[in-house]
Amino acid sequence: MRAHVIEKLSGCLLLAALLVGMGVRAEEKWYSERYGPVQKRLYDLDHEISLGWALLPLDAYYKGYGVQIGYTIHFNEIWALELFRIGWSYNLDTKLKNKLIDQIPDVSPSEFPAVVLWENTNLLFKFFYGKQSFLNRTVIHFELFATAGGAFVFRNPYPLWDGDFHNANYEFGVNGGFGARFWLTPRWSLRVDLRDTVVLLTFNRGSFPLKNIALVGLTFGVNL
Amino acid sequence: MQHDSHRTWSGAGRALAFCLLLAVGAGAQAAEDFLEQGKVYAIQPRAFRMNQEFSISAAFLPLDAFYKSFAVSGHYVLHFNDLWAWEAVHLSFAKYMAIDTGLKKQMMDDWDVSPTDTPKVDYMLDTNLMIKPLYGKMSVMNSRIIFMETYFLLGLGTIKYETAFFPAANAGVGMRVFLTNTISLRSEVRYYASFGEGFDSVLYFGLSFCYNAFAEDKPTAKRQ
Repeated sequence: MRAHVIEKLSGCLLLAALLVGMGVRAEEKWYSERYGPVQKRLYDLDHEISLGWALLPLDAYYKGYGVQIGYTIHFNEIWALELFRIGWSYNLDTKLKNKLIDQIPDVSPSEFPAVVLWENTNLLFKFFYGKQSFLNRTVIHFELFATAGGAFVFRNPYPLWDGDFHNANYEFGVNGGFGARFWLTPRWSLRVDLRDTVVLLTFNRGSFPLKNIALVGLTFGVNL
Repeated sequence: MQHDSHRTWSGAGRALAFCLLLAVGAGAQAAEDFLEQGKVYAIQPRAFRMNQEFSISAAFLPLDAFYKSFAVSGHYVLHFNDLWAWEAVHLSFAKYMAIDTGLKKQMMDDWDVSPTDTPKVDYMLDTNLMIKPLYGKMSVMNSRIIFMETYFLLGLGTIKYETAFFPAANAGVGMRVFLTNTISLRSEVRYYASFGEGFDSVLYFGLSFCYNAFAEDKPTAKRQ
């Protein structure tokens, strides 16, 4: 009796597997007929150094204009590890900050620590790779990717060269974002990154501020 | 014998010369192949073409220090050809969808200051020229293909703040992913500069669901 049930069950499973297999085959065939096969990637990366600019546009009291350098190890076509991305920002005060300092005697510039240095370590998930024809004449290869990881941030109200670090903050956070890469040559590419860091902890003050830092990056990458 | 030897060397010389020629030719071909990587020899006809587009969007306006606003938008776009289109109407409605960032409260708590001049965006109305120089396809995780295009926007319009209307100019960039002949998704970024009592700016991130009306009137690779 039991053997009979097992036999029936195996039969059903086999039939289900066959049907699923046929379904997958049919879907693949439909896809292949409609869109053609997926071509091999023309460009791929191994060890990448990237160097470029950064913009920190969202803070109410300053806008940051910076430079950054990064090193990324590409494991395969889908996954990569951005081992580090280090940046420095030159901060320009907003009208709001200037108004507060000018009009209110109690307000001091030391109360506005701004992001001066940062470090990101991120996993890269490169989910899209594609090519686009430009004006129906040339082809541009590109990829889109998502990033997620940790961040260390150094905030200070004054620039580094002032040497005043009494009101500095040393922070840790998590960051996530999206990016796009456009290949200029087989070795060189242009990379655009949009990232948002949520600061979770300020080490030297023992606080949990939950602050946001948005960053727009434009970098040139070279595949070593 | 000398004659035979001369003939033999002559034959060997010819064979060597032929081999060298072949080798150089092959090398040149290989070098040319290497150098010409990415050069286009054929551009496929388009699988999707837009005609008259109606779309609705969800948008996010993150630049205001005091409020982060959400918006719903409607668009009508007339596509003249593969390169040019006119976004005749774009209306974004953001009234009642602003979230206070807490900056006002912080300023009140820290310095007993209450800023008054912080008008929110109610809605934006503009008309734009759309240029679509890039069309292509992407592989998703190396297994599926989706078709897409990249476009740029340039336009004029007005921004209605809580207090008044102000003229505005805007520029943007976006990407469309085609799902079917009639349905596509757009993601885009627009930057608005408004000129009123002073210069003000609005950054707009939008995600749109688009319906391509009268799609069958435009020939595509499938319908040619």
